[in-house]
Amino acid sequence: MTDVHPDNQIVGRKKPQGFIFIFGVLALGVLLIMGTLCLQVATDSWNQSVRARSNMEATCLAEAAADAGEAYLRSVTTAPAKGSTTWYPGPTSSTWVTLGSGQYQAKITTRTNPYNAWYANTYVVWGYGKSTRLGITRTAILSLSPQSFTLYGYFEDTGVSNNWWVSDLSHFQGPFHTNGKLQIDWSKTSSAQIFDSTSVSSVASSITWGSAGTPQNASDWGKIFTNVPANGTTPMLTLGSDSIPFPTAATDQKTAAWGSSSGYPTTQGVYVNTANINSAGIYITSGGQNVTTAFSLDASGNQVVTVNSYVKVGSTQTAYIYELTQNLSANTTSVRTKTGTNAWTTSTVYTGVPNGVLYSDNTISSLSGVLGDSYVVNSKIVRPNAWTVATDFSTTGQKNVVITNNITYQHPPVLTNPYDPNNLVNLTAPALGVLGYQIQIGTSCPTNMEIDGVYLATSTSTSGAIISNDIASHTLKGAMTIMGGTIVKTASVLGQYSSSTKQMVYGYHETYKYDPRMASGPLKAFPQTNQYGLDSWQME
Amino acid sequence: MTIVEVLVTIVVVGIGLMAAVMCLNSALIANQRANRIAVATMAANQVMNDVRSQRVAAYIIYMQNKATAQPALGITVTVNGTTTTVAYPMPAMSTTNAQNQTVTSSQLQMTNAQVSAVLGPFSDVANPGMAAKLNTVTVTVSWTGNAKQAESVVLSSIVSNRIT
Repeated sequence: MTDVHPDNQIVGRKKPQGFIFIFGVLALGVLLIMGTLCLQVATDSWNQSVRARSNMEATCLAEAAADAGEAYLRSVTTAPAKGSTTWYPGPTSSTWVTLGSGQYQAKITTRTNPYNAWYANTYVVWGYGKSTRLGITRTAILSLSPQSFTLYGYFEDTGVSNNWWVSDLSHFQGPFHTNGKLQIDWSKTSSAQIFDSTSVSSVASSITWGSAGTPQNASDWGKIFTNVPANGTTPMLTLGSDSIPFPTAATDQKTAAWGSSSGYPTTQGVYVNTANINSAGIYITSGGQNVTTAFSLDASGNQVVTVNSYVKVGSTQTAYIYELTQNLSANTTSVRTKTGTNAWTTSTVYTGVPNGVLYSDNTISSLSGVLGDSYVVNSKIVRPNAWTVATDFSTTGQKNVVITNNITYQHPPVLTNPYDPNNLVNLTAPALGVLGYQIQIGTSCPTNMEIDGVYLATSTSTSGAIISNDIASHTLKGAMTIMGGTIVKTASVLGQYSSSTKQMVYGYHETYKYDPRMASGPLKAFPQTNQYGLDSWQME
Repeated sequence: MTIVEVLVTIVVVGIGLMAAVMCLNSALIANQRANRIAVATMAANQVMNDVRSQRVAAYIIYMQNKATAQPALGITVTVNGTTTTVAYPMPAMSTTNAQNQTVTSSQLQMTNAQVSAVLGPFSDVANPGMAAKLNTVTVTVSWTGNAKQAESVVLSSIVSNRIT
């Protein structure tokens, strides 16, 4: 049908128009959307890069704060008290230090050792870093443990002052440090290296070399160190390191043995806090008389500690013997005594065991024996058999320890696999620390002998802090093995050798074996360094 | 369709195309810049980690003894005023760290990039003993952008100067 307009014109459907325009507008829209999306992607990318940059700035500042906090902890003479909170630079949390494009601050807190309350407290350094770009904050958290002197295989305070040399006749395992200067008399022909250690350090920035002179190449260094890199560098040797203050007083050991820092007994006797036996160790007031101590095992393998504190009446010296037997699995301690040739008293059994610290205010003129196993259940040390034997080693006290026979562990640790937590031998092996002004190897000792444990001596004697009395008596003995650690003010001089013949002349030819278990400080009240070991690190 | 419609369409679409191209170009430039900042940040962080992991003393000793010919991307280290230039990535500083030293100029995609690590003295008036234990570290990765403008990423931190 066709419509007829009043003007008699035929009207048809209008021809479509503006198609290209509409297409153009649509295309424009699509392009604009694509452009907007591209801009959005670019903006997101830009924001991400700025955020990553800000995040990294905050991370670096957090690490800066953690390092500064750790350095501050090392610099203070008295470590922060348990439960305290210390801010660096402080004094409060509102103090921030500006560095680069942000700010940092550190917080130091203390906590009970998470692995074993027996050990010392640990410290946590919280390093806070804040980037001013986007205000992002990061936190670096360091967990630090104070390092005991037991960390070292060999530690020596004064070094060159007593003309002490290490030679190719000695062999050292474990971390080695001297606050003085190293003097090394190595040999171009010897096949036995002197140091088998991951760390050898000295405060002095140079070494005095013996007749062989300065090592020239990797082959020469290989005569001194094991595992020398092929390129001849000496990564195990650090010169110019921090000086580590040497202990000067036995206050900590005295307090731990007595169980309090006051009210020390003055009447001659051997004291154990039988009312609360876990709270203290064995405290010996000698009255100026001789004291001897021996470790042994009873038929059941329980640790027996026998202290002989002589009583002098007139010119007659009578032995007063105090015998303590600890049953670690039953958590009991039995005590009996006797005087002279009289019979033993009846044993009295107490619940609990001593804390492992034995302190004598006089020289221990005889120390020897065997230490039994720790009590381990399900791969955890429930009650350690760990002893710290100390005398008044201060320069005013000058009380010595004389070793008169072997001191050995019933079952020694597996030194080649010390950190295996599933190694029952390592867990059950006991531990011993001995502290004295001078630790002497008595002339009655066997020709070849072994002493297990960590030995710390503070004597300034130029003849040595740990010495063999056979040197003075000009007697040649055999081999001496120290399995643990040697910590000395001057030097450990167990033998004298001829630099010309390279042969031992007097005393013992010593070998130092390191017990890495000691690095975690299992010995109660053993002196601590001013250094801290890193237990863990995390970033939040 | 009239010529007017065609002309209007061409103008509108042309303007749109120009705007879209400008958008794309801006996005491309911004994206490229963002990418360079991200890569430079990673590179700066890697240098910072190298300085930190090696500890300052060992790092200085290494650089004094092991400086070799300069590759395309070098690292300049200033220790308390004394400048040393060494290769970066550092060749075989140690086996354990060699695997981490993977930043190259081609990866940075900036042949004109410069990396510097400046070790400076640490100062704390209230605790003067701290100065001997710490150093400040400033790592800078700088380059010239597309528009010839100077760009850089700077990371600042503090490192303990002990090896243990």
